[in-house]
Amino acid sequence: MAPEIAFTFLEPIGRRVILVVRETGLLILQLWATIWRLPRVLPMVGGRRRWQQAVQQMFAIGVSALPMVGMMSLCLGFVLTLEGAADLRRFGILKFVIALVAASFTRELGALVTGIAVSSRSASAIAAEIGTMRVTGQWDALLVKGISPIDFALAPKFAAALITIPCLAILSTVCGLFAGYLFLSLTVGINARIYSGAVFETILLRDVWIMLIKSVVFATIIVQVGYFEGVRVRGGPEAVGQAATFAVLKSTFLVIVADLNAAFFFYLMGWNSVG
Amino acid sequence: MSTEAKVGAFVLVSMVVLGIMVYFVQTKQAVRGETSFKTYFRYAGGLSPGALVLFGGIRVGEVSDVKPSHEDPTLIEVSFKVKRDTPLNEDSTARFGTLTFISTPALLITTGMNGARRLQSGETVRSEESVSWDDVARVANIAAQSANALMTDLHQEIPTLTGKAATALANVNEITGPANQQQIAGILSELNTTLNRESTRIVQMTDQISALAKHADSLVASARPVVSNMDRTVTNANSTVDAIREPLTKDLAELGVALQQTRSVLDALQNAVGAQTEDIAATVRNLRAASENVRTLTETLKERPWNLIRTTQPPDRKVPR
Repeated sequence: MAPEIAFTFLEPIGRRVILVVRETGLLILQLWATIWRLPRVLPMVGGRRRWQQAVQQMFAIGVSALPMVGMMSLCLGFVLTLEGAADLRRFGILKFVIALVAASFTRELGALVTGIAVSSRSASAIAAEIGTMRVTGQWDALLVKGISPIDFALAPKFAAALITIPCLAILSTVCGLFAGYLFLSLTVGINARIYSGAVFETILLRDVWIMLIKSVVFATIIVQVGYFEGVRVRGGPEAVGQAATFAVLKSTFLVIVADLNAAFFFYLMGWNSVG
Repeated sequence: MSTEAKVGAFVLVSMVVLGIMVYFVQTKQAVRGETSFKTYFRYAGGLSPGALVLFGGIRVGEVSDVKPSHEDPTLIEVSFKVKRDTPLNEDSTARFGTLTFISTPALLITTGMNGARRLQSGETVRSEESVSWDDVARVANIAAQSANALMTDLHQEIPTLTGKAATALANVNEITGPANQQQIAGILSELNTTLNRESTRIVQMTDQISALAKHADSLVASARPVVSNMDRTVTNANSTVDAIREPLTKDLAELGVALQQTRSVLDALQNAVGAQTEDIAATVRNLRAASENVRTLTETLKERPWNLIRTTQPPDRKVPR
């Protein structure tokens, strides 16, 4: 009796672990295949149509997301400055508020806000698009025609995300820093020159590179997870919606986990010291 | 506006923003220093890499390393980098401190002196040990303990001191009492009378002393040329002695050398005489024999002078018959 209870308890865990390992393996294989086919998207080396597709995706993933990412960063910048200033102003060390906002956005929040915003917009869109292709038979049509779905659907999106998400992270950081300036300018009348001086005094060049590296990792996660969830769609339109939801959940979760790992990695590398 | 144009503008703007960010960050990082210096402390007070370096209160660089010195592990070696044109000189001193009460420690360097030699990259800046809060607290604790002991002693001694002070005040009261006041008034009155009575004599004595002083002045005035002459004489004597001191010293040295040589010659002669005593005695004997022979020859010549001309005796002259 007792072994049966133990098996009942252990089976779901084992099944879940196997599933996670399997999905991770499939994602890695999918990523490898995408990287392998990435040159076919590039304008000079690859096909012109693929590049046009990539440009369309850049617009969808990057340009369209800019207002949302910008607004999120502005709000977060306001909140961060408000919370920081409320406490630190009492000690007369307003400079540390600027340092807090600058370091937080450059090193962490710029890329993270972008990752979360794009994952909520684009991962679901990619999953829905691919899922619809699966449901409506377009996927099979591509295979019958001998066109690789990775070439057709994934590689342009991946290239677009690799280019636009770092750009979005940069603009998101600028928006967050601008929000900090706006708040301090309105509340304590801080000079733009003093603010920018304090910002550039705080951040290091490696912080900028860390932000770009993180945004590239987030772009990879968002596109690969969205595509992966779309490919797994079986059945009708409900499955498409479910895939979109899973894509958002998984990509957002993985973006945060990747951010944690990146922060841990850079901490171990000693790149997290204050400038 | 086409999709391509929007995407292009988006990417271009992002790249421009990135470029501006990198440019300004690099420019600010250049302030973090290019020229390396070192300084040593016994107590580094929490200085760590990245801490600010202020030269005369201006930010010029940052601390690059803090570690125990290889040569002397009792010292903490603080390496720091400053901007290339920072005029650190030999008189500049480094100490650590904080900019605000709660900020992290910074390395503060004084501007030194204007004429002092500029320090070159890699040289050591003089340091000035700062007192840690622990030291301050320890000193304050010791002072508090001493103050406690002092207060205890004071508490014990206050009654005695109070008694002594009361006695002293009573004595003072007694001294300044009416009886003593009357006595002092009488003494002063007598003194006044005496002064009035003797004032004529005092005036005379003063006149005499004045006249004596005048005589003494004239005597001093007349003695002044004599003293001056004596001074000159002594000066001349001094110069003469100075002038002959060197040759005299040289002569004496030469005389000493000559005496030494004479002594050695006499020693050699004495040795030679000692060694030739037998020969000299024989020579004297020979001389004595020779003088005897000469005396005999003289006698012979007196008796027979012809011997100088002839060796044989001439026949006796015949006496005429």
